[in-house]
Amino acid sequence: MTSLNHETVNGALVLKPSRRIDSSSAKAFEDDAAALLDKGPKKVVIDATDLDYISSAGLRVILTTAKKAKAAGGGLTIACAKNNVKEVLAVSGFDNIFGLHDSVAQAISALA
Amino acid sequence: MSATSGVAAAAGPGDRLAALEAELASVRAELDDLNLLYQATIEHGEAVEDQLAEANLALQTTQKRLTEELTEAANYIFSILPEPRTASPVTEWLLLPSTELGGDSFGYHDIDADHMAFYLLDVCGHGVGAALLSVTAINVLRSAALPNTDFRDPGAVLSALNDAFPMERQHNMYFTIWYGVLTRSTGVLRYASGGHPPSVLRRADGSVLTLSTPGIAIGMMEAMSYRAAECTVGAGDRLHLVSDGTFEVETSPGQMLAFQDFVDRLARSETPGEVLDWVRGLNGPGPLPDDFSLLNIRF
Repeated sequence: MTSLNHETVNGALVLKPSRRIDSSSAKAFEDDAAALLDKGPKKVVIDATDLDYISSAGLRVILTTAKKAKAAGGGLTIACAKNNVKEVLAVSGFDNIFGLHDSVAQAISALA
Repeated sequence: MSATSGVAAAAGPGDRLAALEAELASVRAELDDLNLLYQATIEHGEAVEDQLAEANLALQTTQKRLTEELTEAANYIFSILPEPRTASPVTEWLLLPSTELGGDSFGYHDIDADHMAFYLLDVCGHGVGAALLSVTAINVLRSAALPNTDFRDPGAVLSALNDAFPMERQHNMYFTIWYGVLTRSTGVLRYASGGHPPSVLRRADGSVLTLSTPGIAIGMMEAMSYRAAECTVGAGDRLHLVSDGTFEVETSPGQMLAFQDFVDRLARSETPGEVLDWVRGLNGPGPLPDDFSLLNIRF
């Protein structure tokens, strides 16, 4: 049972974290994402529409999720980040590595 | 019941006295038993108390030893941080771990007569593990201990660090870093960063620049290539190196301090202590959520 909002769209796992991924919520995100990835999907989109804040602990679990997806032969990308979340993703270099997209549909096609 | 009362009523006063005495003796015996039980309980309680006291003492001794060892480790970390410089470029710094041991560290040193390096790094997480990686990386930089690496080239240094510290071989830890090299003869400052907040350059004329290069934290991904950027610095310019813990505070519940607001305040600051006081004021009472480290360089 996972509390992380998610759906499968065209074979891609779309994760929709709410509000914050910080040191108190990062572990739950990591565990939930890992459990969902274990069920088979290889492509992961982080739909950041509802995300207000991501801390360094949050970046870390995005990275571990991305590595898990990559090891399975897939990948991870990010969609719909608000400006302050984009700022954190830019400082961390995650924007270049994972890519930022304006919509989930664009993100999914970028992974195809 | 009424039949029994009838028998008692039929008996003489002597019989009633004997019955009461027998009852009294039985109650006394019960009381003695209870007294014995009470004594035994008290004694047992005292024994348990003694055991607890002993265990508590052992715990205190262990805790004291652990605290002493953590303090010793923290002393070591502070001992390898450089003395503030009084000659140009003048430096001033502040490092405040959020727990006894933090993952932040920094340094500066002359590479040769014309080149000087400044760097600040932040290992993910806090505590003993993060501190161990932090001092290892800082010692590697201080002693120029990376094979075939030109330490005057920030891009080459970060690429070599990334090769040397992959997270899979560092207990899944990685670190962000800002590394810059000043060429004294020309005033050129070359710099590169990996997943680290920009350094803030405040020019003598009051203009403010944020200095960073694209690139992710050291050790996150193999075979990354980092490139340096450069600018020129002159007399009166100030450079501020920071870790993310210096500005990741909430200004109100759920509302994080905007980086630009931090940059504006940092650029106006004279001392690291002044910035710490300001951030503490925003954060409210209690310890800061992350290590706070700030290095100021005045050219």
